[in-house]
Amino acid sequence: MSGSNEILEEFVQGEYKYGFTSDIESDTLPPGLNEDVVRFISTKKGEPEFMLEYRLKAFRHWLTMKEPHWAHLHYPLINYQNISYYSAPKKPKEIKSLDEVDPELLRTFEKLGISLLEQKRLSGVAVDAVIDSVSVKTTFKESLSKLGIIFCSFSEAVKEHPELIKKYMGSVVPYTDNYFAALNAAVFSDGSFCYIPKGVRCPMELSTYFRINSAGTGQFERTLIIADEGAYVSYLEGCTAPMRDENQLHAAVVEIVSHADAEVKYSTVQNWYPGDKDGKGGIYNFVTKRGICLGNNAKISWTQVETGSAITWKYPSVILKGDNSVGEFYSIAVTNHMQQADTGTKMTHLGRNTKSTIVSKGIAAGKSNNSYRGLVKVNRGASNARNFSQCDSLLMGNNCGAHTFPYIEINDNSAQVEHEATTSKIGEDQIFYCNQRGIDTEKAIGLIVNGYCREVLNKLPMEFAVEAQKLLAVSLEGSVG
Amino acid sequence: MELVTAKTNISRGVLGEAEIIKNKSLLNKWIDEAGTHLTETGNFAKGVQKKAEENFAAIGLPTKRTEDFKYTNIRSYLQDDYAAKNGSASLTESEIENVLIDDFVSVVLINGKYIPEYSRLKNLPKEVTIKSLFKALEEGNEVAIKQFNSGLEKTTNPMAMLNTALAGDGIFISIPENFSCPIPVHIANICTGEAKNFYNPRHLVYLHKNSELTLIESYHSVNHTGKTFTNSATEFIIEDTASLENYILQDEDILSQRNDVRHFTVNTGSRMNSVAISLNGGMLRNDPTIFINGENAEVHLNGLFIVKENCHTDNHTMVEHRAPNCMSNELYKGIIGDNATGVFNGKILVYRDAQKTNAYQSNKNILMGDKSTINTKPQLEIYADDVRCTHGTTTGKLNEEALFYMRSRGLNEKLAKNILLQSFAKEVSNTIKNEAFRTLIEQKIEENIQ
Repeated sequence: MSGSNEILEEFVQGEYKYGFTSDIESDTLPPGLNEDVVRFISTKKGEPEFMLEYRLKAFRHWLTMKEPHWAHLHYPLINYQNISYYSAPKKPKEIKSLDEVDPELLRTFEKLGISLLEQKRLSGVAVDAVIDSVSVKTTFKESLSKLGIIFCSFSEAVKEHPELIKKYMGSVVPYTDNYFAALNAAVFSDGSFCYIPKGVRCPMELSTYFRINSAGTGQFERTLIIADEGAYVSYLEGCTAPMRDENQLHAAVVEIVSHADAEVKYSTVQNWYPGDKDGKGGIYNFVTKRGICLGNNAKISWTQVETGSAITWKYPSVILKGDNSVGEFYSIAVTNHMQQADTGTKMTHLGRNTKSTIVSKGIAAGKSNNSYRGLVKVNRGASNARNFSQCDSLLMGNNCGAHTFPYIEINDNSAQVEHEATTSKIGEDQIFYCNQRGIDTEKAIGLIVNGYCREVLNKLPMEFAVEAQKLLAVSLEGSVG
Repeated sequence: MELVTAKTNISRGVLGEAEIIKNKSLLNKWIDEAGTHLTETGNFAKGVQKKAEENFAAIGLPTKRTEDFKYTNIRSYLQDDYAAKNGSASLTESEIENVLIDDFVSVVLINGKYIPEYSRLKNLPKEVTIKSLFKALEEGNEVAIKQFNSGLEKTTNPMAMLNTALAGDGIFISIPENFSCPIPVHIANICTGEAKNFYNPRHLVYLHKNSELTLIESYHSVNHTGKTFTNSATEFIIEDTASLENYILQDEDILSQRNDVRHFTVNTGSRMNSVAISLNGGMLRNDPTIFINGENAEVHLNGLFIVKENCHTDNHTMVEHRAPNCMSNELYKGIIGDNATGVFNGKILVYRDAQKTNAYQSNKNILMGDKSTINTKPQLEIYADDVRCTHGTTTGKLNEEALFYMRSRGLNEKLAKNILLQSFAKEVSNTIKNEAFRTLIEQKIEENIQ
């Protein structure tokens, strides 16, 4: 199989395609973290008193915590005093139309293929573009507000909807939750806020593009999505980051609240800079994502395509509190070169007749390590809980690792829980079969990988599915298809 | 060969000075309490024990935060005031008679200590060595000295370190080259004693090249008056093309608390089949580790655990594929009733060099009681690409439709349930090749399902 080896080789050599830096003047705080920095961020953003108190409480709690090291990840210690905690593009005045947006910024979006203009005109996707932590432009806000939908930057929500922020912020991921969540709560820069009122079905896919831009700036977004009774929303998050030499820390928090009969679908395509092929540079991605199905018949669905970041530490979870609630997790994680991913989900069954589905597809190449780590917990009294988990891993090449660490804790005898996992490589017979029919090895591998991931790709919204497929193709270009 | 450290094994950070001193003093207390010591068997043993003491002091007893003991908090069973003891006690003829199985060579161990007077070795072929491990070490038995602690030397398991540090006399079995032991060797382990007794028996089983052995172990309680804790460790070394059948019946009373460390070293072309049937016991933790060191080896690891009342059974298994072209197959089934807790934590680790590995792991559980709990954690850690590794686990209750089907044909509920559970258990008991023992096990299972 020398042919496929060459192709693997090429994949392993393949360089990051989205490595460019856009020159936008930033208003950056010097590195370091103390209470003054927290106060500075809060003042800078003109936040009300309660927000500052929350940040300080979180910061003081963070000081008492230790960085977790249980994950199957190896990285040098992070010096939290070496990171700048605030960076905002200089924006002296409010922007009312796209013409006022920095043309350099617009070009950045164009390079990413998500020109706001085009998005606005053609696709009907409202984009809340976050560049280095501050929302620059929110589109379609007006048409959404007619339906009573609030979709804005987090800092705007803090000022304009403090009652919602007070009620829901930290209700799913409290600042005491874990080290990175505490850090985020203390220094979060900005993020998105979304509220769908009772019985409203959001007519379009809501989308945010995050970009990490300034060198050495940690980005700490916070996203809060609330779907009130009977509401529905599909939310997209997509990421690409420019090439950097030093490691950048990213610790985001995403909270989702789904009330009775509501449904939230959250899709992510993550393609941050993974570092070069020797493992130099790349983003450290420590994310806490959690949703709660608060009411009966609520539903939360996570779909993720993870191809970037040097380190991924991410476990989108669902707490199934309401009776008959449903949690889903579909994931594709691709690691190459020296990338390390430890990702999975947590499904906590509390209500009756709750259901959860986990489908995780890992692909490891180069010298990377790809781990699935998940927890399915059925509490006593969560009768007739049902879970199905499937975790498959594909190994490409002889220097990578694929691991599965599922935790299953069941305290109710009416639960029905299934878990299965397989690890294998692409069968030579499969490639041979394709070759025989005139499909060259590269395309054959592409075909097989695509088929392998299909189950998850199908769960992505239309616009995203195309992009994700492209992304897979790019990540695995000249390689695995 | 370089291998990324299995991070889950390094469960805790380095301890502080104060904690190390505390661990040392606890260990010293236990060493003083235990009457006989490994060190008395010779200079070689001194070094081994010293090392184990240091290793143990550096990490101490596992806590709930120790990843490998996440679901079994040893500290809630083994407290500081437990007193380390050595085995042996006198029992009556009939008490011994009850636990022996006719037709087999019977070796009686009381709290792990070999009691020749009670044992029946008259049918034992003269080629086979069965004797006290300490005696073998003292006599300078080459095999015993060479192989003792060879498997557990680099262990990261604190309970194994503790066993080596406190080792009590156990059994030594050695099968010579090219010899197939025609008769199964049955080790009857009798647990007896008073409250807070703490035993650490140590055993060694060695199969020379191309030899064969069927080793049956049964665990019983006699005259047990209070909760005791047994932390036993057994090393099995299976040389090239040798074959081991190892069947275990755990049938102790509720006062018995047992942590059973087993270390198997499997070499080129060899084969092993271990079947553990855990029926009773207050707290039971089976902790087998298998190192597949040679090519073309075949490993079967099976277990059935039936847990009732407030009991706790933990099966923690580790299969390390360190050589190419090997296969391992693991099947663990659990029936958990009442308020009991069952745990399965299985791990398959495939080294970078272990290409063409086939590894399977399956865990199936039935929860019978309203308050029964199962915690399962099947893990794969794979560093080689040309492998086929799968694991699967299911948990649920008995199939309602199957029950209904049988009841509609006139079987009462109890009987219908019984049939389903027995067939569930049979998948494991069928892997026992020795017919006499299998029949006995099936009877035992039937009694325990009632």
